[in-house]
Amino acid sequence: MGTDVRERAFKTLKKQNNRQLRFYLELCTRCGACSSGCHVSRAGGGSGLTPYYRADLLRRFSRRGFSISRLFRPLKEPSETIDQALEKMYQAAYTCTGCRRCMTCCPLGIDTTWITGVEKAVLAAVGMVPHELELLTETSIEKVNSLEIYRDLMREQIRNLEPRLRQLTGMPDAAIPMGVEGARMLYVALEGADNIIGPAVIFNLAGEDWTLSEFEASNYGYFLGDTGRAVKVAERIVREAVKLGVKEVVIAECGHAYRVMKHLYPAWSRQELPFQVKSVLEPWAAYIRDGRLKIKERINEPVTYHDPCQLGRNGGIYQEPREIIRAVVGDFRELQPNRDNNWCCGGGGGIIARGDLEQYQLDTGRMKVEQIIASGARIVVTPCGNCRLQLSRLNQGYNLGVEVLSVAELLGRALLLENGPKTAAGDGFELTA
Amino acid sequence: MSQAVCWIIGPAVYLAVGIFTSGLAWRLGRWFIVAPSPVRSGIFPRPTRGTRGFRVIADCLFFPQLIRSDLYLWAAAFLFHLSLLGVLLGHLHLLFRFPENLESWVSVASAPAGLALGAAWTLSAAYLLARRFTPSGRDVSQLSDYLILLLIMSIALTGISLKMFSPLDLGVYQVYLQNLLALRPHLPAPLLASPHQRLFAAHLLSVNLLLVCFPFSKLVHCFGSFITNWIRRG
Repeated sequence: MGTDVRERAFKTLKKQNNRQLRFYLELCTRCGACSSGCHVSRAGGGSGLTPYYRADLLRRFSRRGFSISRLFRPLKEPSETIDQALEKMYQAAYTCTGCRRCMTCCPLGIDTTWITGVEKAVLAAVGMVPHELELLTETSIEKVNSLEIYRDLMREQIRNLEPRLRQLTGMPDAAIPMGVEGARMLYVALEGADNIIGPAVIFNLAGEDWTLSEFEASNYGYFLGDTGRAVKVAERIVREAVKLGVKEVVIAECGHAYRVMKHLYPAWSRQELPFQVKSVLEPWAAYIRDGRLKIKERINEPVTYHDPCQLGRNGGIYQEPREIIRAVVGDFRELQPNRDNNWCCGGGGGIIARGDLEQYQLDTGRMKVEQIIASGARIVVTPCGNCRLQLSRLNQGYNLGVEVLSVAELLGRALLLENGPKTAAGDGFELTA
Repeated sequence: MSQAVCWIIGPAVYLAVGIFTSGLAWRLGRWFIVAPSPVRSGIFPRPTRGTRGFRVIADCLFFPQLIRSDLYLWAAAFLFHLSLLGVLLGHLHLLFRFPENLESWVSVASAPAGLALGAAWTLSAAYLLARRFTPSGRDVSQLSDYLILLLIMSIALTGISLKMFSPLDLGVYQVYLQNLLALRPHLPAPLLASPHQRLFAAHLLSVNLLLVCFPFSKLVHCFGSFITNWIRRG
């Protein structure tokens, strides 16, 4: 490494310099309140990884490069090399889930995740990124170039889902439309057939004018902390929506994808989007309100709801999922605390996709586990793919004996009890049967 | 009177105030010279337009977030800032005399109020200092955190001593301050003759040092917190 790394790191740091970062770096009074608000510090699984520590690494790093401290460098050479500093930053930045609960606990309102975001950008500039996340990001971006080949394959797969969809809905004309120009809504799904058929059932039953996006909602470029690549990933969907002329882009049950499209992309690209961005929970709650969905049977087991950080605290969707759940569930129990104070599940920030962090995931999920046990719920509903994966791992690792469902799965049970009997796996849209 | 004392309560005050104001201008200017990012990083639920300002002011004055995460820290920090405000307001009495009927009340209440506020300030600062010696406190502390708190305790203790034990009339200090403000650093004769001048110099030395440190330390949070809380509520 050496001068080249130093140069690229500080160039990126300079590029990331803005008023927010200055405040977040300079105002900390080091009171330590953030530690008590962080699920990692509280669970003790992160061995010293407090929000303060994660942020302070960048404070120390930036002092290496700028300002008055340069004058004193001959007197006080930093005790660690730049490689050591970057390595520490790598360990800290990519093990933060970015839930921003520490920000709600900080008396000054410092956004530690903003700082770890800059750390990630610096690390990305010198090529220190988790391999899995980079691979997933590159695959997403590459997809645009090989779209022609990929498109036919996907359409065929989707067509293969339709018989099952007709059986589930009992509607002979039920379909999963793709590439429909002038449709009201472009639905951006999560990858995987079971993530598509559930929402497809609901849209068909409600008679929605929709079309399925060719792209997946997830944005690993965002987890990478590389805004340039995150924009490229999100841009694919924006282009498609503009081409089709839809009024709404509706993001699947996914936390970060919603936040990126709704709140971050317009700021990053400095443009106003010519369509509305919604979480899929918004139209679904509206269907229930308007009586467009017939609830066949209410679910009587105790159900609780986990607010995904990127959807709740960072996205603003609190009401709709609760509306939907209350409509189909007899015994709904809130987790304590909930909403903007809800504990992170421990799977965010791309951590869930990293094989090397499995033990860390289990350890740092302890606050979540305690919360779920205290609620006494048998079913945990959450509209975020990362959260569901993490909660399922916690469920296994801690023997919680609960079911982890998406909102679509929960809704599917209430809508389809006659057509689609419950399976052992608890999947209301079981495909292989 | 020694030359050191004369220097501390005379020219050094101007020097300290000069460094304080120019340093602060530099520090605040540095913040605003860079453009803000267009990314809104507020926490949901967002307050309505009309209530955002009130929420921000409440956040800055009462920092309710700390109540939830660390009640003792909140109590100490709140008492610390409240007594600091009281002490600063009390020093206004050095600037002017109240109307005669009010003045008699104020002069009676002045000593016990000063003692109570000073004690609250010292004790809360002592708690804030003590918690920095616990294992978790040490993790988040830097040398400057300890030094600033020690400096503040030194200001408070010398201030209380002056309030309680100084044989000098309030008027002497009023004359001193008025001269200082009028840029005529002329030291009143009773002060020059008093054996308490060293105590007074110690008080002012601590204040001078704090003023010099202020713009370059975390103490600027008293300005910046309004903006960061504004961002959080947006």
